[in-house]
Amino acid sequence: MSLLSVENLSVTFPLREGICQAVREVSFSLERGETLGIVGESGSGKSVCVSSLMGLVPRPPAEISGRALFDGVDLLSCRPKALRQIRGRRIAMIFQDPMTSLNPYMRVVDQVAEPLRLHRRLRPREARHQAIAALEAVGIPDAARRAGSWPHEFSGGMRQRVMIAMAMITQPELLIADEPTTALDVTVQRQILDLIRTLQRERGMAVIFISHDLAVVADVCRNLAVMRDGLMVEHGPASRVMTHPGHPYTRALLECHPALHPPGEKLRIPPELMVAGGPA
Amino acid sequence: MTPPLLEIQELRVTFRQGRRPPVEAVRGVSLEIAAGKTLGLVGESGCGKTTLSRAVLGLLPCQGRIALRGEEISWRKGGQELRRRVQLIFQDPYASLNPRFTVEQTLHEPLWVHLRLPRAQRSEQIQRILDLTGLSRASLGKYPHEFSGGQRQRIAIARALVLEPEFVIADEPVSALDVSIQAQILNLLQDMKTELGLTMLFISHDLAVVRHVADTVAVMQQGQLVESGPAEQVLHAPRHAYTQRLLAAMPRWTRTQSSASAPPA
Repeated sequence: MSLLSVENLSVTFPLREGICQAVREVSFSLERGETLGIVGESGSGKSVCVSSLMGLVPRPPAEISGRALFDGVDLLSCRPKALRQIRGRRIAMIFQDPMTSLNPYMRVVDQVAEPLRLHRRLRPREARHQAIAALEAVGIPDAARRAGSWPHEFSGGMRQRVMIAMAMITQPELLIADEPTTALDVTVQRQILDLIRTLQRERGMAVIFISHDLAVVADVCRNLAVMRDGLMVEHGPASRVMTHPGHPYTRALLECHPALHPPGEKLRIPPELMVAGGPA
Repeated sequence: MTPPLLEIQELRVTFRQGRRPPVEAVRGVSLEIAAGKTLGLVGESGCGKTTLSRAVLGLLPCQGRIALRGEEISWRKGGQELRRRVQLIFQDPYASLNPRFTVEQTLHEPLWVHLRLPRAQRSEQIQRILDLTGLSRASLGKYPHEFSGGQRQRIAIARALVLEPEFVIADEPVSALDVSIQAQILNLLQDMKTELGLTMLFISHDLAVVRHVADTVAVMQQGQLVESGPAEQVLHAPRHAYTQRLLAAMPRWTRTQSSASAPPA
């Protein structure tokens, strides 16, 4: 049985006039230890897709249909209590912006230890002890001394490491990373990508990695899915998608990348991409 | 020989805060940009790229010499005139446009403030810049919130170019945009370069983008220039260890594709 199997997931939001279909009939499955990258431009529905699995899309107003079986439990229809047993313990999530996703009023060590206190009922001392070990594991230098710091005393890359430590501390079976490196520099991005890969291999964890950048995702994931207007238009092994994209939209996304063009030459923008945001 | 359009010599910016030791954000940087060329300035956050550009614009006190067309400039004396000749395009088109101005007001303001042009002439110039930047007449009456990110960046570029500046600083102008929109904005900047002979300081941390737009590249680390030279040389045969590290950090696909599309040396 797959670790996660999503069938016909649809998410719609009512608008003043009509509805917005953010995710349309998306189906995919994820094995234990598999790495899946979901790529798409802003507004393609990739974040809504995974947030709805985590119960982070409030309904109402949203309407969600379909099934999402995680180890046999349907995340979309199970009771809140059952979802809380899974969320934060067996499925963890990292968000894009390390500046806003940490609690500014909580010392770093207490934030990293919180999942252990809630899910494992550990005593403060023991939880703290493990939190420091987790901070060391994600490469925070001098973790024991810095553990008592506040989030604002950390740089962006370091805060993202704290987020990862917090997500990993319950040894989840699935990690969902929603644009974890978009706010970071190239060199820090490289460090965070390598870190996620190492942790994934060591612990045999499955990863869903969301990004708008195909090249970044292809570095971390074995499989790629491409989303557009709420539809999953392509899904396959990264090695194949990057070299022989099956859908014209994927090809178009790759083609307009500056790396493919000699310097100074105008970028070819395939007609598939000219619909949104083009000259009005 | 004609002097370079912009010349910076030994620029220093130091921040002092209370009793703490002063922070030297820019430590003796010298560089020049020839007329009609684009210099790509790269480095990670905190290395001083933005501070350098703000010092050049006179927004921060600095030491050193800044010369435009061979003449040393002083923001204190020549401020008003200089602000017309040097313009800036910001990273975030959601924050850099006045939300209570229509596109028309946004474009009229610099022409009135700097040139006191009569209304008819202003409209004429605005029409010209709309055509150049690919904006429609219908967009004039709209407010920034009615546009997508890419369209807003187009408006920001139109606003920067409406005064026909000699020199433009673009601070991460495409890093907030999707790849397809990024491609459109890069093409637009390319067009401006050929049609208006624009000279540009292009700040970015995306080496694939810099390689595409820049003629020369300068790499900054901790307030100092560690390497500079022709774009192809710096990005394909980097000499400094830090530049090599920056290049190695690029995603594998981007790295292999850009070396494949490089012209033969």
